[in-house]
Amino acid sequence: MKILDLNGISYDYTTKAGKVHALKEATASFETGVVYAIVGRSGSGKSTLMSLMAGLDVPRDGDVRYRGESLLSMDRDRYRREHVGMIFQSYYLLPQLTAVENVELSLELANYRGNKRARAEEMLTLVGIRREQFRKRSTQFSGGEQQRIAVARAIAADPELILADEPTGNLDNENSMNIVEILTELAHRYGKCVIIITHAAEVAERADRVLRMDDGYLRAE
Amino acid sequence: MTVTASFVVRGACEQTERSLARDYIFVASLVKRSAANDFPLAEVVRCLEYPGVVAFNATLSYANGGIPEGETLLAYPSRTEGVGASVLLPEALCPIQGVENLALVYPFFSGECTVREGTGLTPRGYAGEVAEVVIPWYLAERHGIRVGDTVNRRYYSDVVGDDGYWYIPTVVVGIYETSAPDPETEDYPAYMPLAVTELDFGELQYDERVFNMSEHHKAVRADFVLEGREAFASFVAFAKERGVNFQNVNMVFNNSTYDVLASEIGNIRMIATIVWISVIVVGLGILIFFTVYLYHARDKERLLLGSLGMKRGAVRGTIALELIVLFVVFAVMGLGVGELAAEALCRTVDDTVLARASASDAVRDVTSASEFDITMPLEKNMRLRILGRDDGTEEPSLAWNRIVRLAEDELGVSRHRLFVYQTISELRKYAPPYVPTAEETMEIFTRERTAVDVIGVTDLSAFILHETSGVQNEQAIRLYVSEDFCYRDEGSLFLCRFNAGDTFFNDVSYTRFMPSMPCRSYRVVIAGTYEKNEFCSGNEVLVSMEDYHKLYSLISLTDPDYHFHRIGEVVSASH
Repeated sequence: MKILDLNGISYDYTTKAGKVHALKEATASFETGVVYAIVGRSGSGKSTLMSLMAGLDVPRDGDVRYRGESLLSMDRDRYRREHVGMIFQSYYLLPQLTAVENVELSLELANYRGNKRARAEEMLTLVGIRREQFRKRSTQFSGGEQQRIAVARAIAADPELILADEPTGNLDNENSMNIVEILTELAHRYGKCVIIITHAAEVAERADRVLRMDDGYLRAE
Repeated sequence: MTVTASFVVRGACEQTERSLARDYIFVASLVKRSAANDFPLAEVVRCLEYPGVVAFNATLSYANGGIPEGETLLAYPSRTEGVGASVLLPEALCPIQGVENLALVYPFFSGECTVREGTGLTPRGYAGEVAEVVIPWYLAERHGIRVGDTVNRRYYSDVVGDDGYWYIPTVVVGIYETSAPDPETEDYPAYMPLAVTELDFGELQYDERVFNMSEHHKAVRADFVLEGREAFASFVAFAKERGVNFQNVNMVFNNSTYDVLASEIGNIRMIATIVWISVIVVGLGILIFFTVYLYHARDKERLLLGSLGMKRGAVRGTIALELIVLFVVFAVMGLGVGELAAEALCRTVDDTVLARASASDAVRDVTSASEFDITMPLEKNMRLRILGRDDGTEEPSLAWNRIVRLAEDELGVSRHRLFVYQTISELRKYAPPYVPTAEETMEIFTRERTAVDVIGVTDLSAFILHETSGVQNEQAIRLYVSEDFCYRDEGSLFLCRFNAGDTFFNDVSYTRFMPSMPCRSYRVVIAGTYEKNEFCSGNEVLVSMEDYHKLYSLISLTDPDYHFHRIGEVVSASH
């Protein structure tokens, strides 16, 4: 089922060197239950595309639609709170919080009505964090574990769309595969739409579909 | 912390400057230029007209006054018996000094002397209502005198005659002692109220020509408490303008210690101010830098919270709130630590700079009451604190006599009862060559006399007066009487202070101790009548305050049984 549509979106920004056309009329559709990989070299516009899909920014031209509704007409903060889970290369865990508190934070912001602590622990268990580690500060975890906590945080509010920006960029191969496995399972077993932005070929290989960013253009492979 | 510390120090300095100005006793003193030349009390009176004088002390010079030793102290004849006893005349006397304000006499001011038993001179004594004396310890110990005992003050008067010693009873209200290690006793006199010694002096100068007592009285020293440091210069100018003879007297000030202290405190305050402003400027720069730095250091956190759906404004608000909380917490900590630091700094300054700057220690070490004939170190014996607390300094507890001034709409009123001793009509009956018989003389002495209440007011124009007398003698005391006054048409009256049968111990000579002297009377002129008013009627007679004081200087009323309201009540003029 289609969940996200990019309808000819373009995006520019200006640097000292001049105007940069980061995205040029990109068009694509994303469905639930599918893992997408968007690949491309550095500076090709991948992260810009992700910002636009997450509603962190708006395109110059074109339209991003979630379930047929334009993000321009939506409360994009609410869109992110309730429908999007984001994962970053550098995890972005709050160092002063424990693992379970990091996950609870997203539930708090999403106004989750259930038992937040139980939900957070459930998510941590789902991504392979042991119970005795729940109350350790995030800085006490390895990189792979921190990214798993970040995944747990992203999926805690049960979003349909998961956007992962280089989720394995800081991880070794084994941990990378673990993360990709989790993300794949989220799509295939839990019906999420997972969009992974990566430049790692082995990650792209595990995706169901691959799109390539090249000089601002988005093309399906 | 530094901001707080410098701010507190600056505030403490300001408070200390105010406290210093408030608690420091600014004294300008008239002192004689040479030991032989006492100066007229009139010069003190002229200086008192300066509006910035809040209190004063004058020490009256009267070489012949003293308290005799031995039996004469307490051997005064009983009033009820009225019989004289023999009196020894030992040579050694405890000298008497008349003072306006005991607390401002240097030995008491500096703490060298303290009243160990009883009290100092009381307001009633200062007002001249009762004769009281504070005696030195050696006199009390030598003769077993206690507070409440009566001693006699002795004066010699060349007016009365060759053997004109006068003995006047006086109540001991206090005994003082000195902390001097080896005191020379002659430096420590007995102290009596200036008002009483003035009267004594007036009594001995008994002469109707003497009306202005202050010109005839001599003073050895006068101290004027001024409102502030800035009053010194104008006070000197005022004294010069009023004719104080600076050929005979010096005017000295006690500003040296104040100036040193004020300068030190001012320097500290200026340093604190410079530090305060500098640190605020630098601190603001640091604050802005760290605020910007901390904000940008949390870019990742802002991105994360944004990705989790937190509104941008909420993210910024949260970070701003955290910064404010941090700022407040550290500001409070800084305030606390700064105050502690300031207290420590103030204490250090207090114990070092100010302690050295203060001449109090040197003043305290002075042990002789006579060492300050020329210089005038009348600083309050205080130890300054510049801690920013209210308990740093206290109001001085000296019971000095503050000068009471009348407001424009107030009328000074004093009352005293005198008696009509004789009238012009009666006097004419015995005019020469007629000589009254012994019976007639006795009749005059023993006759019940008409009482008149003399009321002195500061402003006669407040009353409706009808002048009747043509007497133009400027020195005459002029009375205004009521329409009902029985001697209204006499023109003149002779007033005295005793009724028949009164015993007047004041007027005895040492050889007789008997009420034998005829009662002195004073001729006063009936200048006119007044219309009835709320202050006087009937046998009450009205005089100007100036004439009232003339009467006051001519009659000694310092017997403890008599009451004389020297200052008088002050009432609002209702005219």
